[in-house]
Amino acid sequence: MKDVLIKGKDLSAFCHNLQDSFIVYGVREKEEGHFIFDEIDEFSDSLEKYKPTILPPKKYLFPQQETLLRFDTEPHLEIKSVVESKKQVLFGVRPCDIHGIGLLDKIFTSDNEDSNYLRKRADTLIIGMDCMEPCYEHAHCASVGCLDIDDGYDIMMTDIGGVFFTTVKTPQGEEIVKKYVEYTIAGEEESERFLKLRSDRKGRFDNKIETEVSNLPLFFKNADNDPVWKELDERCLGCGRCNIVCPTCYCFDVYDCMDLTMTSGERCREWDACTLKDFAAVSTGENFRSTRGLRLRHRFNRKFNYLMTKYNTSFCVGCGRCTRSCPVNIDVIETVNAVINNHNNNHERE
Amino acid sequence: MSKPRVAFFSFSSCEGCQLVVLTLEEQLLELVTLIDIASFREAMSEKSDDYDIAFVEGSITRTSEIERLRTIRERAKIVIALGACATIGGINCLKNQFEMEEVQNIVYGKMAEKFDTIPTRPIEAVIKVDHWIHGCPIDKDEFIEVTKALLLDKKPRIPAHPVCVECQMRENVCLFEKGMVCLGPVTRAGCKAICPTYNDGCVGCRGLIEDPNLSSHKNLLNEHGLTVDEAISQYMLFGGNSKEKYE
Ligand code: SF4
Ligand code: SF4
Ligand code: SF4
Ligand code: SF4
Ligand code: SF4
Repeated sequence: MKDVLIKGKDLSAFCHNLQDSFIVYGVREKEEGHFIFDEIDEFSDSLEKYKPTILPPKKYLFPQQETLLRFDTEPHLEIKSVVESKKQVLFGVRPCDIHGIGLLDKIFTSDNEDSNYLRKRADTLIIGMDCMEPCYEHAHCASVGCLDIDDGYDIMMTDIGGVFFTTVKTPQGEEIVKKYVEYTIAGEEESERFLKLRSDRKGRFDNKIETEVSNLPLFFKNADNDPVWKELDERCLGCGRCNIVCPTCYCFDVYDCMDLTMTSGERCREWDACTLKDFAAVSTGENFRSTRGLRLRHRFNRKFNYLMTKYNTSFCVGCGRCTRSCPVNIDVIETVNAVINNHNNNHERE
Repeated sequence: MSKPRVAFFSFSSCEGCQLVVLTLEEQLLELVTLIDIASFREAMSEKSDDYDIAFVEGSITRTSEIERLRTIRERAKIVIALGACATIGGINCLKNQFEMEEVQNIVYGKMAEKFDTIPTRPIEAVIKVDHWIHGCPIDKDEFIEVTKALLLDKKPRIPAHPVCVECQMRENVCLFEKGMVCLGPVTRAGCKAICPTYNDGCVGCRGLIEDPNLSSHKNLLNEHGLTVDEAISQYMLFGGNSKEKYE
């Protein structure tokens, strides 16, 4: 389908109409200046400028807690897998979060297929909402290559002044545009305006990382003894919030929950977090990462080294949520730059 | 398999944790098909000294309580500390910041000599404890979880991480971002972050996590306007039994 134009005033009806066939999740201002994704029945204009939500929309694909299977032991053992999924639309997802979902797609398909995630993913349509300027001081999407985005959504809307220039990527996207919203085909003038705005925004997003992002694995490979981990060890509370809010953290813990009948029950999973002490504890009592500093070092390596090397893309999408949430102001960009600078200083000395 | 016999005992406390057990209602009815209740003063008048599992609520604040608690330990195969008073000493530990004589005089006035009192301690300071159900009051679901684990002879799934994890999973706006203070980062989770969810700072009723970063947390409280003394007094609301840990 060609690019189309959707008027700002029609978004509300779009949202409303989508509810005929989908549960629609969009952004709501929970408290002043703090946004969340929630079931919405209206699209509110003021939210076009929302900052990253407290939790990313990943919660609708990979929820905080989720049942994986149900079992019954009587009269004989019976196990049924459980996949709870409904047709849903994520409305107004930002580029960073679309990237985040794209990375989860890789994770949940590459070594093992995660049927719960994949089923939810297949039932989900993503309506993206592009960003023309940094949403807040912690945004570093452009620095990790996650602002410009040409994939991972069904449709993507960009405000080009009162009207949304809308790229339709998938057949499902085409279907919802045709069925649920008024639109016109974009003309040459609008296409040019869109391209110009997109290229102009570059100047507004500075590169905050003091090297090419693709160099980061090299820096982190050599950073095991960097003094920054000691400093963070003293400051970090081990509270786990940076993990919980991160769109690309996907670790979970699996446990069984018996019903009170004691003959049947469920196997469930719940988000886990590598900054927590128990995360790398094993049953013999050892802990592979017994200090907060070691655990943070691991978390940073996951974003900028291990997974980045394996998948050849940054596993930080630059949403800045971890920095915003950290009670003791541990800043992802400051930490990355400290690793870069300590490395460079060491080399000068040698 | 015969049903295990369960007894509830109360020491110095408000008995609110036993009350939580009673409010289980339907689940309680299901539970009593799995266990026999030998003694539960808040719910029934019969009592028996023959039991396998003892839920002990309350802290130890008088010498006479020590003997009574030891007897329970001798009779029970499994002892579970029920609620903050029993697990960490709880709010009763506020008393420990005073001289015992002063406390006696404040509380009993002229009668002071007739009542002995000792610094408050959790039950594990007196006897071996097998399991802990934290909180002031306890969380219903956690009580069920521990009871089921006992019946299955499994380790209960009790969080070791701080309240922040549950708080953030519920997508609460952090109180520190609203100019308030909170002990969530150093306090053991399991309450589903109920206080911050209702816009009230965590005061640490479930006790400290295993390796709290208290010096960093204290700095955080300072940055949010608390003096060192004020920070300590926040911690002492429930942490009075282990004051040395906070200094
Ligand atoms: S590491 Fe931080 S900035 Fe990067 S994606 Fe995760 S939460 Fe966002
Ligand atoms: S971090 Fe970047 S992509 Fe994400 S919402 Fe902010 S400006 Fe948009
Ligand atoms: S949010 Fe901050 S204090 Fe909490 S675990 Fe992460 S880095 Fe540590
Ligand atoms: S309100 Fe308290 S428990 Fe919740 S995230 Fe903030 S510090 Fe942690
Ligand atoms: S939030 Fe803190 S004070 Fe409130 S119930 Fe939980 S542990 Fe206790």
